[in-house]
Amino acid sequence: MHLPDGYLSTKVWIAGWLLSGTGISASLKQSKKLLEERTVPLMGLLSAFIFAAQMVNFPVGAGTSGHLLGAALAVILLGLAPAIVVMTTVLAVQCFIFQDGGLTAMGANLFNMAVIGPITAWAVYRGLRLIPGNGLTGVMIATGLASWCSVVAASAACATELALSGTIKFSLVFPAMTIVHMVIGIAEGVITCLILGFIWSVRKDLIIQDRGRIFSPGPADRRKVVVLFCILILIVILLSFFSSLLPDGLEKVAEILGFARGGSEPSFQAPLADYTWPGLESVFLSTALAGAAGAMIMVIVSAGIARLIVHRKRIRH
Amino acid sequence: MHHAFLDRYAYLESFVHKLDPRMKLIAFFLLLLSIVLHDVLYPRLFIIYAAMISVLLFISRIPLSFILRKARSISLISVLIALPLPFFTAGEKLFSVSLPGGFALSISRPGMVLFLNVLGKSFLSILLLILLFNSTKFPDLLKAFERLKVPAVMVLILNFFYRYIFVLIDDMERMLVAMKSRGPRMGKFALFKTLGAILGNLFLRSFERAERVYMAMQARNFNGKMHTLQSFSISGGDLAFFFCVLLAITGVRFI
Repeated sequence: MHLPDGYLSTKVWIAGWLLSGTGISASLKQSKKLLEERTVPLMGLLSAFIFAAQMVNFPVGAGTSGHLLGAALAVILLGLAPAIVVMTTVLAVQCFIFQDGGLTAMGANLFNMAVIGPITAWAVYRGLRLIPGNGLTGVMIATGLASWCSVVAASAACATELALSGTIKFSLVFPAMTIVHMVIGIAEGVITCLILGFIWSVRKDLIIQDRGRIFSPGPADRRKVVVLFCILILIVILLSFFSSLLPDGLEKVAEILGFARGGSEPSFQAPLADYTWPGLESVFLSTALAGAAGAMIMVIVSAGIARLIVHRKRIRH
Repeated sequence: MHHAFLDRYAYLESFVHKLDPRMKLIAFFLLLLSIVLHDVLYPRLFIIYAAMISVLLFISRIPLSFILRKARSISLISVLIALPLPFFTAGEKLFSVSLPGGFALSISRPGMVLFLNVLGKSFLSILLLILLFNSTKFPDLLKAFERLKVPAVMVLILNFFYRYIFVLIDDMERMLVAMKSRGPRMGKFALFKTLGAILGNLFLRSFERAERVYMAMQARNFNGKMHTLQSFSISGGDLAFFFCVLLAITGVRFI
């Protein structure tokens, strides 16, 4: 997902730098407030930890191996702002040492993997942690989903940047990127859960304790959880149904938003005209889009509903 | 553990290595911008830039095999991203094949132009970055960042990263060796669980080490600034190099 130089248009990479710069400087400030003088050694060592952990290969089989990416892990163990700082350091070093990702594109890369990734992980984790109580299962579910969503969200942002730059068509790059990262996200979720499972058995306090987060509310109401998940699944199914009905609608949105390079070119008014892949347009793309959109909506809705539940509880007390 | 994988060739002595890090950073960044900002990287422009970079690479005396190996592994990713471009960009067809089962594969002219454009730019930039980061020692690079007004905290964090990454990797490798010596043939489930435990352990170790480092720093009156003995100075050679780069990138605009 590390974009090299030359793939993004000038507008996009400058916007990437501005956005990630703002996000990172805000989180630097926040973590200095949270950790005071401890910031420098803690952030330095933990970014070194993430970097080292990324080197350990988990042989998945069939000659491939996965490794940790770490955004969700950092968020869960450190809180949002410090995690953004840690991921920034890791990405900067990856560029300096391995030349992974370009220098002009670094703003966009930071935005995807050091800002969007952690924020998504934080939203999902924080939202889901409110629901299933304080047990190991609840933490693991929240961790797994948070890791998965953070990877997919980062890849979606990356695909959008490529499309906005006019390098690749949105309808092509978005499903391709997100589908690949939906698989990578599963590995990420499993690895993060394994690491967190160990930390849970040794230093539970690091996971439960409040580092600028809120505690999860007491024992969860099982029925509420079941209802909530039913609603979420329903939303995902509905979404995939609608988006398979309206594949052209998405294309239209892309056109209106200016994803297409030179929207007036006749080439774009006949999308996918140059090649014919029977059935691809209606089934494959739309399911993928629906999956990604469903995941995003699920995150937002679950966080929102969790908020509501907590809020109502507080009022009742 | 040796610094082998971080900045192995940064300790060579050559004109490029000896350039003032600030000047080098700015000059290389300008060159990079100049490459990226071309709307279309015509073959002649590509050749000019490639020639400039290869001269610099030659002077730097970084082994060619190292550069190529590194460039190859990074370019692979950019080729992967760019690969669909010739096939999926609409426009005048250069070439078309119909495959069995109703599939048709065609390469379009604008797609090909876009493909070569993107690939050429990214390849040149990768070479440039390899040269920059392998001819500058990491501490010097960070000091240059500090002088160029990158936020001081960020630079300090990077400094700490550099100090402790070797310690952590040593820690990790010891644990991995211990794991292999005790369970050479583990099932996948056991292996993953153990690897997870090792990484969890590594986290706890680095977390606790950070606390100890912090206390040691407080004991030594750390006030948020790193003091080093070496200072940068800009020589005639630096200025000459900088003006050559400036001249080159303005000259290229008129070709």
